[in-house]
Amino acid sequence: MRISFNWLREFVDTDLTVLQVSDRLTMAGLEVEGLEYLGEGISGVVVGRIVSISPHPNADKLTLCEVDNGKEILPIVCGAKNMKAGDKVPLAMAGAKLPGGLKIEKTKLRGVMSFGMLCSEKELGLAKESSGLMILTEDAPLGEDIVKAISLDDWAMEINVTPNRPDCLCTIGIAREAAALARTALRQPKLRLTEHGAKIAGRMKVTVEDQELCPRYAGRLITGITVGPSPAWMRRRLRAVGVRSINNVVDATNYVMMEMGQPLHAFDYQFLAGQEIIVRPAEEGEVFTTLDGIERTLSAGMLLICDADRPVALAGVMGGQNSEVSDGTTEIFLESAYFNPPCVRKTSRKLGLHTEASHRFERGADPEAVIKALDRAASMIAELAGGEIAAERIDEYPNPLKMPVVTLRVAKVNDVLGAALEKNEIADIMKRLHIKIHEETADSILLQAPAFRPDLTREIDFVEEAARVYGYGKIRSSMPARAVAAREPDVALIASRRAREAMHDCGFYEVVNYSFMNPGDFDRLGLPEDDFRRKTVALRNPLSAEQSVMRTTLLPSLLSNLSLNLSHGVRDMKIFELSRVFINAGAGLPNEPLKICGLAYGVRSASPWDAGVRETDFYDLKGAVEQLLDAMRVQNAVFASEEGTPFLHPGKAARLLIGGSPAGYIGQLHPDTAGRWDIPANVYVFEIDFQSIIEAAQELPSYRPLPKYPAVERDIAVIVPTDITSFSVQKTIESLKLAFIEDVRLFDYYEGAPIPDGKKSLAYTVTYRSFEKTLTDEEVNLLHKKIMDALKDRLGAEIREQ
Amino acid sequence: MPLMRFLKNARDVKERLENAGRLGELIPRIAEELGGEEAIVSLAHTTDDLKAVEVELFGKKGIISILRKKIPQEAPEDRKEAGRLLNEMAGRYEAALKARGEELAATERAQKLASQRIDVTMPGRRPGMGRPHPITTVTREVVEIFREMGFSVAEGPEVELDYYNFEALNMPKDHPARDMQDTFYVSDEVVLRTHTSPVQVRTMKSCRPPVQIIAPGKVYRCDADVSHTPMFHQVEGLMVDRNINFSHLKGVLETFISKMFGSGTATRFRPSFFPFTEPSAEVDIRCVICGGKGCRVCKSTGWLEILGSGMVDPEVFRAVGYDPEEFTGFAFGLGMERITMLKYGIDDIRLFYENDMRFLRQF
Ligand SMILES: [Zn+2]
Repeated sequence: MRISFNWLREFVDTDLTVLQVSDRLTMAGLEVEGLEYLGEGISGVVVGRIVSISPHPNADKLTLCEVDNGKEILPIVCGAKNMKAGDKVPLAMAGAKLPGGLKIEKTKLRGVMSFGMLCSEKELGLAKESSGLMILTEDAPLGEDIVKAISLDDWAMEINVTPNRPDCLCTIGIAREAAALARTALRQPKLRLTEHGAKIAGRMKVTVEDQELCPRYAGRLITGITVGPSPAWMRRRLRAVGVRSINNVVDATNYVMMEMGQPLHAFDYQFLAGQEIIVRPAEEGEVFTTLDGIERTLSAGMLLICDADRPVALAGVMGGQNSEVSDGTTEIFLESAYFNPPCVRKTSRKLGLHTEASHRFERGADPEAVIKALDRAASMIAELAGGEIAAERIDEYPNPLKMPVVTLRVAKVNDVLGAALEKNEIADIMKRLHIKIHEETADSILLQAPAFRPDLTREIDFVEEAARVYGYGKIRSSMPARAVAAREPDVALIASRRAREAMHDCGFYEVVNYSFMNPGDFDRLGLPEDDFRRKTVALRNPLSAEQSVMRTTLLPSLLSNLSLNLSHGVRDMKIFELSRVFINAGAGLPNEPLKICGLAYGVRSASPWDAGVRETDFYDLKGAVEQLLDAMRVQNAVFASEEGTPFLHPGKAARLLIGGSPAGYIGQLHPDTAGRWDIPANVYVFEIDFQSIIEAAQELPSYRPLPKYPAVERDIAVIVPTDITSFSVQKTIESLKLAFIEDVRLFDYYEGAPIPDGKKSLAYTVTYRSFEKTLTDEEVNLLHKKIMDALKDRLGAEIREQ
Repeated sequence: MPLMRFLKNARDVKERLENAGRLGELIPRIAEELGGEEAIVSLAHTTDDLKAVEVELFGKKGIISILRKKIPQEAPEDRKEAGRLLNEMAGRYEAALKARGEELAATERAQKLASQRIDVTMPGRRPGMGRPHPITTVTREVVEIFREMGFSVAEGPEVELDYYNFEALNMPKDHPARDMQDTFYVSDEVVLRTHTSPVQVRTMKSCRPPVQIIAPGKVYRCDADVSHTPMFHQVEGLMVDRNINFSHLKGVLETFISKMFGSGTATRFRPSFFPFTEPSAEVDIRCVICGGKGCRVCKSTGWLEILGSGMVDPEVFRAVGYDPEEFTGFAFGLGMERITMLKYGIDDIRLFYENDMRFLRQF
């Protein structure tokens, strides 16, 4: 809401400066977000009068003006054409400054001295474009500073009015607050209304068919008007509050709205068929063209203003093209009404049509301001556009709205605030806010809010009024007694912290991406039609098609992150994200499992001078995942090769099983997938269900006593077919369930001569240990032989001689 | 070369030993001829030299060994004296050799270490380290401050029912306050939560007071420009019990601010409006950029708004089945992006979600 400080001061008698008023309003809940001095950047510009105009001797397009500044006559060279001798114009004298930093100096233009410049509205920062000089009104005092002369000595205050305060969407509303805060009186605008001629009754008929949606409908008839431009003062005032001047009739209605908060609408009377208004609900599918020229299809529940034949306005939102005031209009019917707020809001929202009128009606206008605003606008139109106001007015208000009477307990105020306000103090605040006190008892006050405060209907609403006017700053701070709420350990919080730290320890940076994804990514990933990741939650109103569904996998976001960073020349990158994905579960809300997704790419060594630089590979990423699982104390995780993941390299991909259930994938990106994201193929990725990790995590590791007897290590090297996995060798050894095997660890892998084609060599260290004694060579030999035999028999392994 | 001369001397001495006379006279003479123990060891400049000297003296065919073999051939009455003289001489040489040996070893080790010099200014080989996203870091800091004050972490869905996001928070379908939050809709009844406040409702519906929770999480608004991203992070707080009042709200939030921004950070509580709190307050801190003089960041006001708060509205209590006459409470919400931007002086909110490594590596 934009307010003019000068306008405000017409209603509040105060010596406070604009900054002081702004501060008080801000600290009472009407936050002043911006202050703009309207004369900013203008100095040394005065009202001048053109004495004579003659052609410039050396230039066809320029003229030479003699301009009186009240003290002397100055020769000024000017390029404009729209002025004549005798006109008053803004004169920027030598040394003047204009908005945008322009400084005016004495200068020679085509051989003629010019002692200043005559200004257009654009040059004074009053308009974006102007076609000639700004011609001032005849009454502008000669020689006066232009900032004063055209009311630029004013501040525009930008106020953030919260939705609960429709009363503050106008100058008087803000003035009322300012007066209450400054403990000073509020001045109401003066009303001089003269009625003429026949009564409205015989010339206009109003029928309200739905009194719930339209509790009050009032109007006046004004005849014999001349539509034309508004006078300068009106245009200036509207400009100060950011309203564009249209014509004297529309400007008058806007002026009253900006002043009193009541939206008004003027119909061209001659287009109102049957000389009547019928206020009725719209029918489903009814079509109506609003005055912005757009044809709108209405639905039931909206409210229409109609004449005898057709709709002429969308109640509380916008008028119709068919009855709009135009230059030829001579008679108008002026509407002032109170419409049901939810009805206006529904209409405005459904049609996507937000107007100054709907903004006020949907928040709640003042039903009691309807008449005052009508009369003020009518008298203003009569004054500006001539014409006569027909005698009497129409006012359909069968069931006057009443604000509830509420008991405010002094104890409640102090209980909620933790303060010690006296009853008298509270009562005083209420009075200053125009709240009616019906009755006072020893410990409570019976209150009724004015009609312009629809937000004050409950005791707590009045508690807030007391608090905000008293001042939040005056309420002392204290700490609550320590609550006894039982605290569950924050398991998920702790787990996610631990996981992040584990990833950081492995060199991975955390990324955070938007939760949206492009549904086209599923095809780019090559996911089959029935893949669970295609069960998306789609947005009805996405910002773009690329962000139209909620993520079901974090992978595409990380691929895009890599792509962006490659464009900046990154050579290696290890990132991860821990975020929710959203799987559509049919009815009800989607599932929101937490996923951890990682990506590794590029060179592995961190020192550029080191010869040992190599590319990151599968085992680097797998090592990171193993370390993550270890940090989370997950002990039952298994990696199984997996050929069927469409976006992963078929030979370099694994499924992660935790406790036998699938929990995620790890692998190299499929070259085709990489191509679709325009990134290299040596990218390794994983994505794991984080809930599976949390559930498998062993919170407390169980302690085992340290061994008292030495271990015996024996190596075993086997040659097996290449498709025998290391995991199956280990499993075979484990399945023997031999006593005293403490650990089996792969320490060498080799393929190539002299190992025959199709075979590979794997070497393990087996650690034997007893907790009761030192094992003898014979005992170990026996166990070791059992292992060798089993590998020979079950896997066809050939034991390599050491 | 003195060592060579010594070795030759030693060989000469050994030859003459074959037909030597009484040892009692011979031993002092030999010692004299070879030079005193000091002289002998000073000849050796390396451990190898010293070894050679040792062999000439104590080796199987060394002078001492030869003399020792001669003792039985002495007259019986002289043997004891010869033995004593020999032992004494051997003892002196031995001690000298040992001392010199240690001296030489120390010198040689020092020389060897000195030759193993590396360029310590070359960059180190790092094991590799990652860092959290700045929003994570700051959220964690905020959450920890409140956990220390007794708040526990609560969570709720990000795709949320309109009921929890709006209606139970005193924002029925046609409430103008819905304009304050541009909402992403999934259906008529399902939205992306526009704030973390629905967690309040879910928590209160599931347990009785006292309630003291903090709820960090992602929220969504259908809005994207230079100062807005469609997703951002909030931390919601709620405390409900008997006799909780606005003074407590001020106390808790001032404590938070002094821990987060430093004690002595000026704050002000400014009336505002949220449909689910009354009285409501926005909390400003003295601008951390200009110190209150007025700058671009604080829009010349000298204050920075950092959180919204208020006493829980009785309508919300009714929606969750708490008696507003029995219980009171306060709620608050903070935007993590704003606090993170203030903390690190970041000037563009969109940087948080581009995940440019040049940005992420800075935190
Ligand atoms: Zn500042």
